[in-house]
Amino acid sequence: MIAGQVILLAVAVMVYFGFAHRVLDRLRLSDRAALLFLAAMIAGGFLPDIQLGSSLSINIGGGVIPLILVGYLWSKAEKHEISRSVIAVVITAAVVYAALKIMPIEPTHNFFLDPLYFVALLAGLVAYLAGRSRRSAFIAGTLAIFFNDLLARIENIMAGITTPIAIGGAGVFDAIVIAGFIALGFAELTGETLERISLEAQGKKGNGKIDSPGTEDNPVKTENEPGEGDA
Amino acid sequence: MSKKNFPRILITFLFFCLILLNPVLFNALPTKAQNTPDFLALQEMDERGDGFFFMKDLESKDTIMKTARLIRPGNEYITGENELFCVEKVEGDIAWARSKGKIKLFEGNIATISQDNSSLEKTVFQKKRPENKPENNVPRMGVYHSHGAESYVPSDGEESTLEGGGILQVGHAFVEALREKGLEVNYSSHTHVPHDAGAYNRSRRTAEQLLHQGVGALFDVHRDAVPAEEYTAEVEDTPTVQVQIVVGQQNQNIQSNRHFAEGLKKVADKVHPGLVKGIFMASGNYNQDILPLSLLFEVGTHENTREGAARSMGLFSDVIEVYFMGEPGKQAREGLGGTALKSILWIIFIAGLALGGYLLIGTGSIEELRAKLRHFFSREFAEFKDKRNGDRGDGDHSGNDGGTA
Repeated sequence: MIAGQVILLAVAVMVYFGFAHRVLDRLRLSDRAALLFLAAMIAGGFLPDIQLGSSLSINIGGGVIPLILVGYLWSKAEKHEISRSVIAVVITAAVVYAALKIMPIEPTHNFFLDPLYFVALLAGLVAYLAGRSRRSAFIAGTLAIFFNDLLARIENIMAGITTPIAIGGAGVFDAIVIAGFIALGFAELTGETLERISLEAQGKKGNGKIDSPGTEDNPVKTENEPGEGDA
Repeated sequence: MSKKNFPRILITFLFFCLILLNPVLFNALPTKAQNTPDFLALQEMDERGDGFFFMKDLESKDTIMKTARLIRPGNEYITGENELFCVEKVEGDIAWARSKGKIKLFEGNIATISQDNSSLEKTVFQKKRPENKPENNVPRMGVYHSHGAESYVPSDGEESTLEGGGILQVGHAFVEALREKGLEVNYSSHTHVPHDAGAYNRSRRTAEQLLHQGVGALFDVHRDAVPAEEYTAEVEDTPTVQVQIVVGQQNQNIQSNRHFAEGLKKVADKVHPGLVKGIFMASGNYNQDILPLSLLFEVGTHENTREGAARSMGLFSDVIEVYFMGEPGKQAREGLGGTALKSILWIIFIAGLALGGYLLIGTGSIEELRAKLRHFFSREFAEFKDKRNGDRGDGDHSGNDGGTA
């Protein structure tokens, strides 16, 4: 590749990583933990996939690390929040599965967006409606694609097809990771907008916080919590 | 569930219903082609059995092309004769496009090469073939199939074969032809089934894995689903299956990939005139965000023969060889640098716009946004100043945590 293309790729990747870091920052992770997870996703993408059978494998960066992150978020969440996000995951996975089956196969047929982005936005919206939490949106977006990969493998088994499926095979650029990031970003934007409208409606002008809490009963802490930086 | 949660659950349920009904609703719109949308038939919309879409000239009313892909306003098409059409409106099966006139394909100095094919072959083929080794700056190529189930009815007996369609053999023929020319190629024959809208998500992993293997140019090989005549032309006095190049519009690499496609067409027009049917700038991503040199090829239709399609890809490998190993192609590729730099500026502009919009929503007004930014920069620069002062030994700042928390 020539220099211009290398720079184009580098800039696009940097913007993506910048976005990813901001998104991870919103998950009650410290700056350091967010960077660690991001670095693990990037590095893990280059490691060999872990075989889970003859035609199923999982990538470390695009599959294992996001699952660890989800587990970590659940470990930090309260009980009611976990149950709410589990409901969000189930609903989102079902909606995404239905959407993938109903949506036409070629991106040209989709009414405004490529399935890669559309499914992620869908996950973000459904998860936010179901869980009203940014973290739920991330968890649901990530796990919805993960479970849909498993369902794809089951479909192939039932049809007697042995084509391999690599869960999270594209590493940090995989649909699993992108869906989680976009879902959270979308929930963040929706949350900010709704909170802004709500504030305006209450006549509480000004003093809007960019780092404002995710929900009424589900505050998102962006400050470091003791011990969290070593996740 | 508590009463408090009921509205939320109701909205989610309604949204779920809306998604389920989505194709029916959209196909009920007057702009859509289907007469009476059959729910099950809609699931095979990528290959319409009941017809196809026409792109027509708004002024002359002539048909420009037919494709099974849906055409949307904003899509563009460069014909075999290099006339650019921009789609302005869609009525039923017809996409009305306005001609922007004949264009000069990407300015990579290819225009200055001789029109005489024999002299082109002398300078390109004969110079390189004896060594049979690519130059150092020729990228390794990656070939894969997002829809590996696609087949050719006259040869394979059916339109789609889940275990692996005829398209795999066409891709294999392309790869073999490239390797014979000394080009380094990595090939994936994964089919990415089940055949649903998640196929591109799954093929994204294949594309990324090819990238990890050092691939610098990616080709996703498909076939279209229109009558065979649409993709058949005389190439060097022989009826030949044509190749259409598809460039996705929904990614940051569109300009680079478009110019790559134009460069390939320009070479093809000289090496094998008529082989490339056109370039379709279509909605979608097609995983072309992964690399600035990634294209989708439609090799004929389901009604062409697989053997004919394989032969065409053999011819197309000549085009790839000239583009990557010949002097004309080298000049074109160098020109792509400028295209990439323009794309970089766009990315920065769009990222800035998105960030600004987000901050504006968060703060509520421009005044607050300004105050917040002023506070942010004054805090960051204060830390920077502190550090500099510390380096100079003006003060001891060992206790400065410097974090953003």
